[in-house]
Formats: sequence, structure tokens, C-alpha cells
Amino acid sequence: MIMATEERVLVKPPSEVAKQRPGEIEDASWLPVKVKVRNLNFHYGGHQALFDNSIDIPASRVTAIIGPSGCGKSTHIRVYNRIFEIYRSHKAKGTVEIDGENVLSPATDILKLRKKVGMIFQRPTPFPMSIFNNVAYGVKLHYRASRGEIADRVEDALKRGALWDEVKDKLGEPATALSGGQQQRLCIARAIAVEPELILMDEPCSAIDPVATSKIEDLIETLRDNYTVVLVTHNMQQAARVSDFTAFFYKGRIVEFGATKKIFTNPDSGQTEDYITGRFG
Amino acid sequence: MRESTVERPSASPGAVHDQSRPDAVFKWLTAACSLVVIVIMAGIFFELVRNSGMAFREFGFSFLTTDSWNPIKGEFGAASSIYGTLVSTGIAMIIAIPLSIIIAVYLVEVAQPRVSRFIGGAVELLAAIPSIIYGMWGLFVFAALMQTHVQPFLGKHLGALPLFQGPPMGIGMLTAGLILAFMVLPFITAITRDVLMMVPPVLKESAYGVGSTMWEAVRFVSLKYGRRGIVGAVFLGFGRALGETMAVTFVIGNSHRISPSLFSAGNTIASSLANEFNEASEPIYLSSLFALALVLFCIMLAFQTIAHYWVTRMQRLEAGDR
Repeated sequence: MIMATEERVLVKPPSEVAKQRPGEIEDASWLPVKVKVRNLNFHYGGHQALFDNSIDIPASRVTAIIGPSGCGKSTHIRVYNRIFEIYRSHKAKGTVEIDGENVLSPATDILKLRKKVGMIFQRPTPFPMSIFNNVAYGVKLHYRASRGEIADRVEDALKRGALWDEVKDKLGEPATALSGGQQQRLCIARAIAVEPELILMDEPCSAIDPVATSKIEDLIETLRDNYTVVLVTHNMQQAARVSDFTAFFYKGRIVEFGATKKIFTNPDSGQTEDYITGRFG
Repeated sequence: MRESTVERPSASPGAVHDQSRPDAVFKWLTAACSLVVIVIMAGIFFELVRNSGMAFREFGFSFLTTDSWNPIKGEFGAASSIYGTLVSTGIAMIIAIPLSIIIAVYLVEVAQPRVSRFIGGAVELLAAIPSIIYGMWGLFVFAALMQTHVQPFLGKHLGALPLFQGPPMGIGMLTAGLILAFMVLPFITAITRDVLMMVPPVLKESAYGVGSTMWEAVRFVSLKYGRRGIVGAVFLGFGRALGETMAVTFVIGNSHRISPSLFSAGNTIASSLANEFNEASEPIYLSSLFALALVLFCIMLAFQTIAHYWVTRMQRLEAGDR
């Protein structure tokens, strides 16, 4: 048993909510809310990138964020784990409540927040160390654990990241020697290893080939069972394939949010329809 | 590469001319210019070997192991100079490496951009100060400070170690090492800063993204990512410290003796050469100085080779030997 350095927050099995396939869900109103965003505004120095974003991200589901380049998709999710803060000129105003706690409050413990909210980036970002140490890195940061326990945790995370079979014989090799798709799954495993509840994916497949992309999509499908996933994507087919809910962003505003099936077949907004049907963007 | 089988159609078939001639000229021109490097290198090495021949014939291998340097009796040994060179450089590196890396980390990761630009500019200015000025400052200001404050303090608290025994004279091995540290610090800092600035922002973001503190992100990700460049920077500073002449000559005391105390005067190869060429009247004296120069040349070459080998080995390890 791993001794946690802090109180462990275990992922609640979402058994109370019957699982449906992506695209089958029509109504978000009866699902518990994981992230509740109200009036979120975001500034890059003098440039405002988000305008009054309000959205309820349902727990234990995959929510896709789509929209043309520069519409604020990435900016929006970068507020959830406050990663934007490492740049001085970036400022967010409004509330982002995760499990009822406003993460933008100064009282938030940012390290705990980032443990709870994992993030995957546009490019794979393996750390300059071995495959094993990449995954063990976060575990060592957040838990006091023996070598054996860390090894178990790494194996578990790599299995959940659908990478174990490919790397189990070369855990000591540098992570940079893996292919791009493998590196991205390694990053997902690294995020999973610290037991997050919410996983943010910022165009995770934009730098990898179609075969690797489909592996990652399969992986997202399995993550659905245990985590809340927010997936920013350029690829509308991908949003349609893997997500339960979709938000359409345009020029820093949330134009429409609803069940993926509805957004892609019968959107309320004409702008959404134009984007979905490829008339712009 | 395979030759293209597709014929490139000429815009005007009559105007085809031989393209290989200008390229041949270009090839030979660049090669000839590059050859200059080899010629200079070989020329220096050849002259050093030729001029030091007499000393090596006279003293043999013991030239490297005896520390007696007596121009009156005509006895010359390089041991004290080699010792002084390595010890003063060692002191310099022990101080400069951690300090430079800490400053570089501060400039890139911690400081406000305005502060970072200001201090970064100061670091570059420090690198631009001629070494003679370091020497003068070292002799007139820093040595006095060492004599009145630093050396008595070290003697009082660490005097049990042979390293810190003896009268505080101000000048000596420790002072020379410190001055060298100040001189190589801006070089290592500037390069390390540039290396750290090259770390992809998205890599830093992922380090913070899994819940690293700033210290953890720097220590385990940024510095690790840039370690090859940092090793390169360290070796550059090392090379500069080994061969530094003027500043060291001012503050080291110029005595051909090996003493365990860092307070006592010593000499380095470079400082001896700077001091003694004027006095070298006997051929054997002159030849011994050339032999010293050859030894310095070989030390430099050896460390360059080690540095090169080390960096390529790190590169191979990172690439997973593929």
C-alpha cells in the first residue's frame, strides 16, 4: 500500500451513472458536474482571448472542445490547472470550480491542483530521462513510496496508457527513443500515474500519425471509465468519434455546448452548423 | 542518395553550360580556408616540440616530476607549474560551476524580465573585461581584502586543515583561483543561460503540469534537458582558466614551490611563461620554458579530447544508442 504524503483522493467509480457509448448521450443535465466555469475572461497582456466563458463539464465523460484556430480552445483549458500562470502577462478572471472549489482562488494549493488535473500537450513532451523515470517522476513528487511500490505504480500507469506491452523490456531506455505516438501515450501514462481526476488534452494527436492517433483515441475511450476528459481538438471527426459532449468555441466565446450527437446533427446555432459542415474554419 | 532519373528540362536548351566548374572552385576555396586551421595548429605544435627538445633531452621524463626550478644552477622541473595550473583551475571551477548555474537559473526561470535583462547584460560586460584589469583589481583590491578578512577568517575556522595554514599574504593560490572563478563565471553563466532558454516551453509546462515546484522543474527537467550544453560551457570555462595568464600572474605570487597551503604563493605554467621569457638568457632556460608551453598545450588537448568524448557519449546515451 502506498503511503500518501497527503490525504489520498481516490477516483470515485462512476457506477452510479450508467455508461453509455460516446454519442448516445443526449442530455447532460442529470450528470454530476466536474468543472463549473462561470464568466471566465482571459487576457494575454493587452489582448483578450476569452469572453465570459460559462460551461458545466460533466464528470466521467469525454468533452470535446472544437473551433477554428485561435478561438481560445487551448487557452480555456489552460485555466483549469492554472498552467497559464507560469507566464506573467497571462491573466484569468472569473470562476472555475472543480468539485465545487474555485481553482482561481489564491488559497488553492497549486501542486495539489495539478496532481488532480493532468495535462497532455500538442507535442509529446517526454522528460530527458528513461521511460521508467518519466512515469515515476510524478509519483515520486506526490507520494512517499518504496521502490517496489513505485515500480508497481509505473507498471499500472503504463498498462492504462496502453504502452506496457511495447516498453516493458526497455524501461531503462531514454524516453526520447520512442516513436511520437508512443511518447504521447507515455505522457498520458505519466499523467495517470499521479491519479488525476480530470485529464486535459490539448490537441494530443496534432503531431502524430493516423495509426498512432487511432491508438490514442482507443485509449481515450478506456479513460472514460475512470476519468473526466476534456479534449481540445482541431479534428471534428475525432470529436465526433470519441466525445460525449462537445463545446464549440468561436472568437473566445462558447457558441454552443451540448451532446456531441446533437451538435453534429442538429446544432442550435447557425455558426456551429457552418463550422461543422466546413463552411469556415 | 540515388541519382534522379528524371531529366530536368532546360528553360532554353541552347543555354546549357557546365555547372560543375564554379562548384569545384567553391569546394577548393572553402577547403583551402579550412586548411589554415590545421596549418596553424600543426605549426605551433611543431615549434613547441622543436624548441623544447633540448630540455627534454637534458632532463628526460623527470622534467615533469621535479619541482626544482633553479635558473642559476640550470635545473628545471615543471611539477610546481603543473600543480599550480591544475590547483588554481580546480579552485576556480569548484566555485564557478555552481555559482554560474545558479545565476543562469535565476536569470531564466526566476527573475522578472527586466531584472534578468539587467543582470544578463552585466554578466556579458563581465565577460568583456580584459584580463589585465582583473589582474590589477585582483592585486590592489581583492588581494588586500583576502589578506585582511578572508584568509584570517579561514585560518581561524578551518586552520586545522593544511590547506588553510600559513600567514595571510593576500596573494597566492587561493586568490588566483578566486580571480579565475570570477573570470570564467560570466562565460559559463552566459552559455548556461542560453541553453536554459532553449528548453521548449511545452516541456517546462509539462513539468509544472504534473505538479512540480519551480525547483523540481528546473532540477529534473530543464537542467537535465540542457546538460550537454552545460557540460560544454563548463569545459569552455575550464579551458579559459587553464590558459589564463595576466590576471593569475598578478596575484599568484610566482614562486616555483609546491605547498599544501592555498595561502602560499605558487605559479602556473602560463604565469611562468609570461614572467620569465625576458630573463631566459641560457638556451636550456629558454628550452625549458618551451617545454612548459608544450606541457600546457598537451593538458589543453587532453581536456578538449575528454570534453569531446564526454559530450558525444552523452549524445549517444540520450539517443538510446540507435
